[in-house]
Amino acid sequence: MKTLFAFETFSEFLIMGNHGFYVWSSYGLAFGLISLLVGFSYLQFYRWHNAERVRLARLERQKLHQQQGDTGP
Amino acid sequence: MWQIFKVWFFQMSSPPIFFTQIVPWIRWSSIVGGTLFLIGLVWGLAIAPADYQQGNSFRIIYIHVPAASASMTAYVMLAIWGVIFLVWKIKMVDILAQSLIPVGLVLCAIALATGSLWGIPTWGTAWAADARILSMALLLFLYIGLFLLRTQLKPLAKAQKIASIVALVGVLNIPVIKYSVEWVATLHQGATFTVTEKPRMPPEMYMPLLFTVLGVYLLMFAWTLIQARWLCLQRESGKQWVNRWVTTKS
Repeated sequence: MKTLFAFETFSEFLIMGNHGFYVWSSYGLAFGLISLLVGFSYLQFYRWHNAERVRLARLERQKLHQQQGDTGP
Repeated sequence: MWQIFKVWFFQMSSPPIFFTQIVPWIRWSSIVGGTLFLIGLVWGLAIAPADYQQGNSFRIIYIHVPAASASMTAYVMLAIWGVIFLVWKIKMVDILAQSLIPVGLVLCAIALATGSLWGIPTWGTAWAADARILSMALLLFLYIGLFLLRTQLKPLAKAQKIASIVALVGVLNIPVIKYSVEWVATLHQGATFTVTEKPRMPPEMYMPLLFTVLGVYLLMFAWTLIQARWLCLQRESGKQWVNRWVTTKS
């Protein structure tokens, strides 16, 4: 029976006429590298965002202390 | 029309305006790009017929060609933005260039790695001192150089200037990559697509390729814009609008 797909069974699709290793490792590598790019970029931004938030919160606290005339312990 | 474009262009070259106005562009290009890429991938991997000569290994084309093509286009964009930055010093253009470099680098690495994996069953070798492969490897080194310049060199003004010049000089490599398969006898096969000629593949093989190429271009565009938004915040840190964003978003 002729189907829409180029392979008759799922295992044929995975084996790809003995080329499965090359095809699947190509796609695996590509997606792996893209995930690394996205992951590292996000981590870098996340760290910056956190540090910046901490810095701004500290500034805010200092301002508040100065307004109340608090000289600290 | 021209007036509208000019006003839009000037507005977009301001980081705070770019930061808010670009969001729908990111959303739509990632939705459309992701959909096109997935359709192309399923079509190419499971539905397209096997090649009569290369068997199923030819299915690597659906990631190899989009990655190679997008990484070359990205480099040309870097060179154009380099000129714009050197002449007009538009900071938004430099932010975009810095955002595009890691994407181009990863795409170039994907093109080389998948090409290598495709070469083993097809040519019997993963690497050859071939004009196309060597010029593509040079592109990878250019990207690595640009990436290191951008991340390691201080102060920023110096890194911006040198990276723009390197991008500009390195663009000479792009026609070498493009025409290497025509100028010299190479192991690498000729171009599958050209703008002027009929594709050298039947439609059931090249249609999925068109989908993945378009998808990868749109996804590259979307990711560059996302990175550019993040970089806008970092470059402008300390300014009122950035502080407001940092404190409200958690």
